Amino acid sequence: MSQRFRTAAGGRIDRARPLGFSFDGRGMEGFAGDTLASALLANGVHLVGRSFKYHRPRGILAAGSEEPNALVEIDRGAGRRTPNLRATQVELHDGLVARSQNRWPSLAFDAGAVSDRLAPLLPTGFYYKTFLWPPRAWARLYEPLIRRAAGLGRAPDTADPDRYVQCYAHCDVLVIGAGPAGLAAARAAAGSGARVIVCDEGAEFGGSLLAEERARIGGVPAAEWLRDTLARLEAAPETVLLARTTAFGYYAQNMVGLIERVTDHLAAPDPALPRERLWQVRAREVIVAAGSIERPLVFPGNDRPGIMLAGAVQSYVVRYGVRPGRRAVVAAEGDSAYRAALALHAAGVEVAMVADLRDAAEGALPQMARDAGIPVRSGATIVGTAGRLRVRSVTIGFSGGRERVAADLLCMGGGWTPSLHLYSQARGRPRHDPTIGFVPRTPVPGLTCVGACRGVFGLAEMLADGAQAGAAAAMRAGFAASGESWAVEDAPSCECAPPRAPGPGSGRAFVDFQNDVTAKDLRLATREGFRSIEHVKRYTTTGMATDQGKTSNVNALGIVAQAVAAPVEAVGLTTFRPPYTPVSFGALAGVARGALFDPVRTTAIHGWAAAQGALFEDVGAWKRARCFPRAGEDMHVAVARECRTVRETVGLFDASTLGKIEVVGRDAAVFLERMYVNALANLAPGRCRYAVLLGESGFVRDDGIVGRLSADRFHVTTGTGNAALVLGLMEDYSQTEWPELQVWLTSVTEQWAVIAVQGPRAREAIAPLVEDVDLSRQALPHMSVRSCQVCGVAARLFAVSFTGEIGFEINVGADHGLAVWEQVWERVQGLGGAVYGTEAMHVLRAEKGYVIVGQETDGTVTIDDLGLGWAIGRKKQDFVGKRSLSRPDLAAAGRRQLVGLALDDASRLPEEGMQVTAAAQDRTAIGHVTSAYGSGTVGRAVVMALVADGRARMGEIVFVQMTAGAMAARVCDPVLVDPEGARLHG
Amino acid sequence: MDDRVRGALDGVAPIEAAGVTVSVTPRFDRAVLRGDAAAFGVGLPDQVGSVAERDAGAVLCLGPDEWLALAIPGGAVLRVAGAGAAVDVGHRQTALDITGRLAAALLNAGCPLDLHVTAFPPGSCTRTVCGKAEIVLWRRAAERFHVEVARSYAAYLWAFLAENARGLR
Amino acid sequence: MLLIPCPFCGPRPEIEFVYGGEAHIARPADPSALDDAAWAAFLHTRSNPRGRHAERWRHLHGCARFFNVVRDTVTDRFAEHEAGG
Ligand SMILES: [Zn+2]
Repeated sequence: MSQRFRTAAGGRIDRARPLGFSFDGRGMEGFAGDTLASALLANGVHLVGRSFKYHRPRGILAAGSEEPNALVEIDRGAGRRTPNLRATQVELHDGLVARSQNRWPSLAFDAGAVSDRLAPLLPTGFYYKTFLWPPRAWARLYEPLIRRAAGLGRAPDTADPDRYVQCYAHCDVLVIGAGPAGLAAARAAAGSGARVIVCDEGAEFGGSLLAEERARIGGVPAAEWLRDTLARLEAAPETVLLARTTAFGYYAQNMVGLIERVTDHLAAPDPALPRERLWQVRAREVIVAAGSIERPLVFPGNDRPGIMLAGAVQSYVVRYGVRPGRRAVVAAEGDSAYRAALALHAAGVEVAMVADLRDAAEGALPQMARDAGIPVRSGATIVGTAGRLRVRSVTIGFSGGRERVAADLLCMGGGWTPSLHLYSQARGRPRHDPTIGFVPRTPVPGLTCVGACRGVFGLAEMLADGAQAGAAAAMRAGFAASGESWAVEDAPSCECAPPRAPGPGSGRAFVDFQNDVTAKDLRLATREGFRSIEHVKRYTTTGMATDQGKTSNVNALGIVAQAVAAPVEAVGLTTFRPPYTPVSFGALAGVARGALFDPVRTTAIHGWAAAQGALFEDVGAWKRARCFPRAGEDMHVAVARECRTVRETVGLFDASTLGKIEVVGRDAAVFLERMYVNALANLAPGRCRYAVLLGESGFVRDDGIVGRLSADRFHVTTGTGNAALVLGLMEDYSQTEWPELQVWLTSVTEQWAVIAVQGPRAREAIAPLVEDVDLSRQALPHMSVRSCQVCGVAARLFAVSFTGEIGFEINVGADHGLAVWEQVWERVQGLGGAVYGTEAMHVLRAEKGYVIVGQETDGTVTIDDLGLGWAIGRKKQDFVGKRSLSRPDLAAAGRRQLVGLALDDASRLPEEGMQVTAAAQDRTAIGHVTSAYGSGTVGRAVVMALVADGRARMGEIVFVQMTAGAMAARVCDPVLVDPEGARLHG
Repeated sequence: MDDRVRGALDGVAPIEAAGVTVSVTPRFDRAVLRGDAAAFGVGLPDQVGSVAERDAGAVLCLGPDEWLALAIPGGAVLRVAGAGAAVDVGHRQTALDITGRLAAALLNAGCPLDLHVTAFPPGSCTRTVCGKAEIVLWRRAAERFHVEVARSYAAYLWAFLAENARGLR
Repeated sequence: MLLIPCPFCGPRPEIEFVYGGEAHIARPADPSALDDAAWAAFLHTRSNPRGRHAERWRHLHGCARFFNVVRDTVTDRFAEHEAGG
């Protein structure tokens, strides 16, 4: 019979909307408004999983996010299999497919349960003590064995097809938790006109009010007050209500991470909707109304299916209209458990006994239970339970002896632990209250805890606390606010059970259900010398499962405190860390996957290159054309052809990614003179200089071309990957060291497309396109710059070369880049030239011994190491990094210096980074290869290397340690093509 | 020359989603102005984050000595007299127009600033970030933002906004 | 994410800033006058305190200015602004 354990009426489920779902392949029915847990219970299913270590049968313990046992896998189709979801939070929808975990072959018969019978052999620290020796056995034996047995749930094995998004939000008041205290706070804050965000991890706002059957607030039933409050909040224009949204982490200065589950509860979600939305909320004021979590009782056999938290049982009965059993025992350590007894009784469940662990059971709620005819016995202890896949009986001890009571439901009411997670993440320090447990102590600026999470439990008190705090927070945020107050009736006062350690008892009494840690394990750890709770935690793994010990930490603490005979506050709480509940990787990644993982920067000419069939490489975030293979060519052949064409005719190259900085102002020359090693103050307008930039520590940071456009305006280039770094460095000096200089820096990297034309016929190629500039060698020598018109648009024309051939770099506005490129290409093509990519560029520059900062350098290379000392302006008193050049280590002999290497075997090509040794068999490197390319022009590999005292070793034989063995190489000058520069100045 | 001008986002169709539309603006001339406000002979807004709108464009005050001047092509040429610098950046950036009830919400998918109309009212501007791109944001009206992005980041920003415009809350 | 008080833009999210190291480490007016030890101290020696730390930030993706501010390295709270360099 379907839903045999549904109550006749009542609850917040919609009985008119039945929903079909399956659990381990078995079809069942529930109602809209159910969670998977409540629907399973309505169908009489308590056994929902196997425990992690001992594979013990486990049921549903709780009704909220603190659930340690009922972890299930939800399958929403290909790639959408999510493990380890709490059945208590999974909302039912039509067609939901759920499976139990950690069992093989079936839930009822689990082969892994053999480890339960081996439990005496698996004490705490078993792995630490057992798998010690020999070390080799780790890789081959222990680790594979442990890995197979360990792990909870199955990780998905295909890419996640769902969308996840993120957003930033701001508000005056963020209210976390929409129970009575949170709602009262939200109502006060929203009423003031403040911007309010209210979030709650549940599907419905209301918290404990959703399971409130008796109380009246302001003269109306609690449910009506809730309805009215939600209507007011929804009507408030500046208020955002986020259900199914967990505040998972508190970060600096009131930034709170929220995870909103947008579609998992829907049978057929709108495909436009993301599955989850991650909110980063910056709030002026945060109100934490996180509530409290009921503690299980620690007694032997406390983990059988059918043994549940009393508050959860009340919630299942009242909110979900479910009878979680036929015959119940309620074990009460405080008054609140009586509410479960009363609710069960009202729903027609036989309550065999309330076994009150206190010496006396007085107060309003015990009296109400007695009045209802429920047997109440005080002075009880729970001695044990029986039942294999479901609790069958409870053995209760009294001063007079023991009594075995048949029951299929045992409710545990062990008192309530305030949820300090967010408060503690915000660096609040709690204190220990002997009647409540840990409660907030130190204030956190901008953060207020209200209600049960700060130990305020009565309904009237929670409402008042919330209303007052909500109004105060709104006022601190600059709004006129006042808290309402409501008369509360029929909410009987509830004596809270103080946390206390359980008695020693025999049998396994579980503390941490998810990691299968027992009271005995904790006591063993203390006997073995562990004293700090942080150490006990790591040794026993208590509190380290995915629930982070929400139901277990306080019990564990009590046991350890008792065992070491120290007060609880001296043992201390373990650290609370985000996330409060697990957050999916998808939500953390957001849209930053695939094409949006990282920006891909392209130049104005990129589309043209792609259409030509270029191969691209990543240089920083840029895509650069690496080479342009023609039909039938591989990259090797294409690069060789491109190099040859540049040396013999003319080549066209997209250099747009070069960093460019426009340096303007009366003192621009003075500024650059101080930044670069070179003498630049005397650079004439219209001329350029190759310039090197050091860090203050003396090592090379960048190099580039400094071109002087006019007296007060320079165009400076940087390496492609260095543009931001160089600009940042220059801004630092300009703003903070030399603010008196009138100089302003502007990044113009993206303003200019740079079209490089290089080769003996370069001048001829561009001449017809350039207006009003005499391109002759005399009028426009190498290292010149002119502002002019090229192809009818404004241009900066540089006569510079990075190939050793005659070269020009035409800078035109980026939006004109493609059009100008196409016209230049037409000319180049007409002369038999070619377009070339970065690979040919590298070969050409290496043949000339030109360095690339970041390739020949690694942050520990000096300008002298590179052989570029000539660039230093000798008469300069100071420049950035100059003082460091005379530090002993930088001036010492034995530094690695840039040289060329000519390999004995001309057919061999070493790899960059290969070590260089003095003798073939040496194990100590004297240097390393920085660049190596095949070169048709030179007829062998062009190799640049940094070698100790390299310039003094010219002609010596050294060895490159190649993969196949040492290869002899002769140290040579790195400049291999046209060392006199005749071609350059041709 | 117009037929030879290629913007970074030429030819893309506007992003149209519930509550928000994103389109590429017509071309602007742009200049970065640095130095003393007095150096430029025209009144520059002197509050960081404020905008002075003019017939043919606008001047955005991005820093204590930094302005971004936007003008339709052919607008007035700025002359610098005194301690200041003007640099042409007309091709450096691409501009987007984001309009609609959810314009601010779309930007907040990647922009960490408070874009509530009371916190960032019309006439406000700033440099900030959106996703992994730097942007300049100018709120032209309650439901209209002008966004400047570096040319090579325009395609990324466009794709980022298109993706986030779906199912926007 | 920290909320960093920019003297020109007000409190802004950390993601817009780059850290600039300890404040008040001025470059010597004449580095050549320093001996090696003094120059090494300028390059490398920093106070790294537990508590109040005067430090530099640059509002890179904002007004782009450098500024000094005092941050408590224990609580991450910012205390006050200081002028310039
Ligand atoms: Zn700023």
